Amino acid sequence: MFNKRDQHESEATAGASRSSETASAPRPAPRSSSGTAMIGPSINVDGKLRGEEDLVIEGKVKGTVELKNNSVTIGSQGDVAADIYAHSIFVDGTMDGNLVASEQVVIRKSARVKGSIAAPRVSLEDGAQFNGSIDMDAKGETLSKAFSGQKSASGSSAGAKTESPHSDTGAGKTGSEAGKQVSH
Amino acid sequence: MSSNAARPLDESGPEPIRAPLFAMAVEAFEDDRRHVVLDLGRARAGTVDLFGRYRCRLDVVDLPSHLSAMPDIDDEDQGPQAVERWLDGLLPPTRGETVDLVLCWNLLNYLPPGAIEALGRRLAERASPQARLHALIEYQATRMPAVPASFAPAGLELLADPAEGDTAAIPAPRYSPKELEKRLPGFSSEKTMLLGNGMQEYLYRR
Repeated sequence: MFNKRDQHESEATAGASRSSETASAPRPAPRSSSGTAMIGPSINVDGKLRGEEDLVIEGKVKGTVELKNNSVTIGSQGDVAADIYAHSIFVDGTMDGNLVASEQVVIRKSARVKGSIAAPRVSLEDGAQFNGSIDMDAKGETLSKAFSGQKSASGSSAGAKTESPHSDTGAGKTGSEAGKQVSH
Repeated sequence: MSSNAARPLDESGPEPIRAPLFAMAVEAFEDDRRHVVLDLGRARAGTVDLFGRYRCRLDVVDLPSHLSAMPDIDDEDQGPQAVERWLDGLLPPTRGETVDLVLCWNLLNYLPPGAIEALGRRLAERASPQARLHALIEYQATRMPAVPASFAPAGLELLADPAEGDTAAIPAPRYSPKELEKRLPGFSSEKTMLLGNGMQEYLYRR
């Protein structure tokens, strides 16, 4: 629903200094990319977000997040209404949409999640609010579809990108502190 | 029915309760077939852990937390239809699959007969031909907590987690297996078992 690339495509590259360093580098192994991007609490993103680094969301995101080789963390202040495709997804905040991970989804006790989850491994802490579907069938259609041909489907450039008709700004903003907020 | 298989619940702490019929329903998942489970209680770590061992889709809808918003079933004109619409707004989409196991936990104790019928109609539409429905019923006790406890598997046993704070009690409806069977179209009572905590475990099959 937010894939409006044909209408308008603006790219905000996260970690631009890093992207030039890694653009020609060999494709990174899952979750071994160079850094962590962060969408801070005051940032609103509406659109499609893609990239090759881990992402922490503490702001508001609507649309689609595609980081198939990396982890996405919805922090305790994060408020996401989106479909997320990632290697691993960790949820502490509020999420409404589909979570699809090739490795695992972790729903922590502070999380409020409505929607569907598809991942080979899912863990949920008691206290979390969840309403929806959890598909843990590794042979399930959702996972197969989302991650089939993944190597060719993912982009080759490094750094998170947004393709958004109306990003408020600062999507994929990076910071050296952001990496410290991810605990796997 | 036998209580020999059940062991007493230590009220001072959350001791797991042996639930042979729950175990029986889950053991049917040992084949390599894909299964769909509909959990009508609060999402719990134990439930996700248990069904994560199988090729499974687990649908969770925390109906007990929404009961205060349930329309009045006794409204002569709109009651049953309003409850069905309310359920339609809460139940997750079927995604083209039928449900193999419905986990009601203690929910049915908190629904009036008409609401159970409305729920039963919706479940009948979603259930696979051999689907099972598992429920925990307050059968011996005349009163039960006003706020539903939540239950979670601990392996193939069950852990009760009483609601915090509210210690009020309300009359228990003490539904019999046959009474519920009448309210759950397409489901037949398969087996019942008295549990160590005094609740009754009912297992229905299509």
